Amino acid sequence: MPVLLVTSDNEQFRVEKVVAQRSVLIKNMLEDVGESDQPIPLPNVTAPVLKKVLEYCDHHQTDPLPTGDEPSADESRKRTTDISEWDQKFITVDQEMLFEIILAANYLDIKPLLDVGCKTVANMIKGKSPEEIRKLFNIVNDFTPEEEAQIKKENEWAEDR
Amino acid sequence: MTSPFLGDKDNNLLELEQKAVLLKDIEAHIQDLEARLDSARKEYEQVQGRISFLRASYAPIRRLPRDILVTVFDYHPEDQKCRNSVLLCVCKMWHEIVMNTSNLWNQITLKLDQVETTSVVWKYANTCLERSRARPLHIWIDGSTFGPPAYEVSDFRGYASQRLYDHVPISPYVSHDSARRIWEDYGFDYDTRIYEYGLHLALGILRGNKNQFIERWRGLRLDVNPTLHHRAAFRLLSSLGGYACSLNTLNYRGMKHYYEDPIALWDIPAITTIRNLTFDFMVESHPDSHEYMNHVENLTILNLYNGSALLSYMVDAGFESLKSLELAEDLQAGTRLINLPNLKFLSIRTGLTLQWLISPRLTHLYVQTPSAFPVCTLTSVTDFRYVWGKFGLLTELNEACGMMPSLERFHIGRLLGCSYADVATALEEIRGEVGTLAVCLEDATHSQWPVALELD
Repeated sequence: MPVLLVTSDNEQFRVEKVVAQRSVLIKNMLEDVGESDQPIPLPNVTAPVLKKVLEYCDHHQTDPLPTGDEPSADESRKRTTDISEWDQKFITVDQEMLFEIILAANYLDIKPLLDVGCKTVANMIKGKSPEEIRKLFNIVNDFTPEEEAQIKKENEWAEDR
Repeated sequence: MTSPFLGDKDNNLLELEQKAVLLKDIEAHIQDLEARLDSARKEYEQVQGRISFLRASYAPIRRLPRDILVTVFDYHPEDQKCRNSVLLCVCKMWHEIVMNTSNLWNQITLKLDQVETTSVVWKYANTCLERSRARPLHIWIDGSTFGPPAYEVSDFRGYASQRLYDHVPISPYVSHDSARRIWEDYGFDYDTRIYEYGLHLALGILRGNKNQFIERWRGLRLDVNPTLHHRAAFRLLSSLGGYACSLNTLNYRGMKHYYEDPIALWDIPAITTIRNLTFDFMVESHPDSHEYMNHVENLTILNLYNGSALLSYMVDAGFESLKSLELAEDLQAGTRLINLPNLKFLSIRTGLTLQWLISPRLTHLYVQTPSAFPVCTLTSVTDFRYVWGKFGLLTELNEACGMMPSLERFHIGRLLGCSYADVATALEEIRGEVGTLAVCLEDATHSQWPVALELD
């Protein structure tokens, strides 16, 4: 049975339940309301972003759902930043869309998509200097010269890096 | 203006005076313009700064909440030290996040290179211990390239002990007994003793004053220099027993081609609580059943270089909990059977010695040598991974199915020098002849094969 999703800009998306349920938020809502043809409002997601998210959910609809038993960051010594080929192509979007997808994945509780987004940003930062990172993400260096000197002093251990 | 009643000289003087006045006026005008230009430039920079600030406050990354940024930082693939030293300097917000997120500081890698530079390493260790707060610690002490000090310790000869004390003072982090055992082991040269002392010091600093950090230790990897004598290696491992009560994972890499004497593994007290164990040294055999390995769930024995019959020495060690075993060698168990009642995953050099294994729950088998299949029947194996040796793929597949009647998945790895296209073509040719068996070509970099130990 299809599910009707309504975005913040009032666009409607009719999708298969199995696809919509990749979102834990939607899955829980559906379980709460039971069988119903009421539309599900998604006030934090715009139509272009939801379209992208649903593309991801559709492609991964047969993947096993995360169980919540995965090792925590503490336990997992080896965190891989590998992203599958399809996911890499999927997430090759402009920064605006990338961060919107991450926010939507967080809101809709789609952990694998959130991970893909976070890994992508982590890979963008990899190997860059603070100045290069600021330039990449349009971040202002808001430290005063005194604060910069203080940070350098606090982190003398990084000198031999 | 010149006058017809004045001579040329007087006219020139008059004009000179007039021009001098004009010049002063122009200079004043230039100064005025320059002051206005400076003022405009300052205003321009201020407006530009404000625009950058306003633009930055609308930058897409600003929308990410703190917890998502922490996840991004956590996924950052570089070493914790490299990562944090960069992230701390980007902006105030990132600085604040990194400083106050304890799980960005609990993977502590200490790279020991030279005695003279260790003070910076200790500073980093102390920073991590403080900023990781109560988080469990995963420690890697990399002393594999730890070199002798720049001063010629070997030249000290008769004065050595005193000179060593002068240069490497006794630290509160190394117990008096440990220090005495190291300094008084005259079988070693002085460089080796300083090296061993450095490793004990690193462990001591990570233990903290009165062992305050010990309960947080979860994983310890020790990479030591091959010059470290087996006696020193044993001292190092043995010292863990006194305090490493919370240690879950121990990974010791000596990179040594051989030890004159094997290490008595059962005499290392910490071994009795470790769940994940990796090592590359020879172990001593023991005539009695000690069952000292009964807690170990994942065991990896790295390349021993000399092909020692290691597992036969451990045959009575007790493998009640062992689920995963990775061996760089074959079993070489002699004539005794090895009972691994709960083993599910086995990675082994060849399948030629598997008849010595009792493992009724083994489901995943990985044979590392091309086409070196098991020579006995393994009824419980459902997943077999092997490296294709470029013989007939279908023949090999049939041979594997004969030995493993419950086989469900057949994973084909690629031999070096053999292209994926070749394997894929061979695979394509046998499609339709494999029944319900799932046959897949594995990309080594994205292998779904279970990883027994996640240590690196």
